[in-house]
Amino acid sequence: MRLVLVARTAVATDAVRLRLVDPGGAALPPFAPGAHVEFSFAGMTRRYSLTSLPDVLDAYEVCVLRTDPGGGGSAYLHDRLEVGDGLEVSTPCDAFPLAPDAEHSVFVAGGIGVTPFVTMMHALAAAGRSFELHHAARSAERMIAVDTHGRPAARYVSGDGRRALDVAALLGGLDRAAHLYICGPRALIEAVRLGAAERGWPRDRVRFESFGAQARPTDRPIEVRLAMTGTTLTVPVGTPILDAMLEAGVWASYECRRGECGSCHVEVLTGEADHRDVCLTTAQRAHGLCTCVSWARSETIELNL
Amino acid sequence: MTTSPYHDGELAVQERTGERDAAVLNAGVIADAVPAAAAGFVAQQSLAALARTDGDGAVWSVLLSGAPGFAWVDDDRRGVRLSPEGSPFGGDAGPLATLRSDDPLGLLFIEFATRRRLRVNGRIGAVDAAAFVVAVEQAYPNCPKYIQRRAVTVRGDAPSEGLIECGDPLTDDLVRWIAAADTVLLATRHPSGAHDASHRGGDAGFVRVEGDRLRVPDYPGNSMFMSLGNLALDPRAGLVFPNFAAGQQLCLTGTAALDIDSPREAPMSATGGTGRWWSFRPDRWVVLPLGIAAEEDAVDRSPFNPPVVGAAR
Repeated sequence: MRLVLVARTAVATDAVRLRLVDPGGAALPPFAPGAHVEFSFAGMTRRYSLTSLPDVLDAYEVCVLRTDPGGGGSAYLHDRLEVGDGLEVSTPCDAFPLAPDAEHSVFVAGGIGVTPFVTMMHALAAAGRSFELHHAARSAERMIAVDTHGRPAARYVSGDGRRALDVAALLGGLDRAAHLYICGPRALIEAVRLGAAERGWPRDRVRFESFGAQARPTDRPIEVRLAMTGTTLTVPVGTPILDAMLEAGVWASYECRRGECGSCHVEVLTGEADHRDVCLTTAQRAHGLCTCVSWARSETIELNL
Repeated sequence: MTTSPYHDGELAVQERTGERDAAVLNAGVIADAVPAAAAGFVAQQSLAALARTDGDGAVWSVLLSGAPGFAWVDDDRRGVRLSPEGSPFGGDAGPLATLRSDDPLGLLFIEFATRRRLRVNGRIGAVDAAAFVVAVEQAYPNCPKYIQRRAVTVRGDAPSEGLIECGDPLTDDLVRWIAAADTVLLATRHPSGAHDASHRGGDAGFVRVEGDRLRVPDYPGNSMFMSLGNLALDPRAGLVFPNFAAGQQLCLTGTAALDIDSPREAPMSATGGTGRWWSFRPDRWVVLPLGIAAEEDAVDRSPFNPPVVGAAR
């Protein structure tokens, strides 16, 4: 559906809130807590969690962080899209489902990853449920303020070394009956996911949503040698290995493109993988990598494709 | 907004399993022509699984093979031509009896050496004694999970044609064959006639023989439920178990039933956490030659296979 931007508000350093309405004033489709929408603009698609409340359907609101380096999507939404401009928006998708009857829920957010929890905490508060929020960010200025409805909230700032989030200590202090929700950068998701697994947390009580492929400042271009295809690709920083292979006309499987499903898993024959998925086990990583998000530590990596 | 590529049976199973939203997210991979990158892949293949219904209404899954190049994609990528080696076209009792123009069928190209797959669904555009063309209606990649990696070679020595054996109840030898299998190809159909060929793999023993039925776990997948969605509407199904060492394939036709409403289980359970199963009651079986071979002592099992644990529930 085509929606129109009616307001853009700064909510933290490098983060804005966008408010979108139907140009004819129609009510927007309903959505579940934790839902996201997909924006299509300027040849790009991006997913954003809805931060407006499910019982107010005259507008959708999302928060957008400026990412650098990125594919230019966030820069477009920050700088180019103007109030009054239209944008193609998907119907809401509930890929981060909430267990509404949980005894106690714990939300762990990294930076902008707090956004899906806005609607989830609202729903639990309305149902009178118990929950707590742990929100980590690089600095206080980069932290988006969210309503925790009077429930406990702990905020952690890593940038100045004052009070960083200690995942092991956090998990150690929780009852395993609690439902865990994690959204944020891969390192945070991995720390909570693996820490919870070590402590015997039931897998269905640990849910996460990741940001997908993200380049790191230390990344260098890599050579990807495809043994079966007989070609070598030079992959620049910021381009997923999967995209480079598809662009080169190589037949490769994929589904989620966010390192969450394992469908793009390919055997590594030589070279050292830099795993950035959030789905593979240690044994699966020993075999290969997810080409949609992972990178290589070695200059060259050889794959069985 | 685009219309859904899913039919009512798929939607019903997606809803019942709570995986509807994941299915929507993954729908973007379905196309109405063979993707450009897959055309070269098809030309390198020596094996394809075919799903179809014979003249008596029985659904079959059968493996076709030939030297690389036996299958190729037309320039406009809307047609796939197949000229399988010594194909059992002429056999009256075989799964390919009475192959006719306009028949719907499903194809699955599967490269065991790299675990890559391509699914193509469509109709037969033209057929003669040695080849047929499939007019493409749907094509999409498939995830490589649960495929056991093996290097396959085209057999030079095998009898390339004809029925080896057929019958009704499973013999003890066939029960052993199934119990040792790590790979099975499944054929299903929608009431509209559209067919689907799909792969199921696991550690040897993942398919259980329980009385006159086979019981198969439904491991975590792409949430589309193309096969189980068909079975929700039409229970007819075909299975083929390849025996790469013997150069033979066991094709079964019968009916399937879904058992997908149990609660989710621990990830290391026999279903990989889904709690979902389906069962299959064979009506008839045939054993046919298989034109490819693999070194069975060099099989690399998928790192995604859940453990084969416990006995029947």
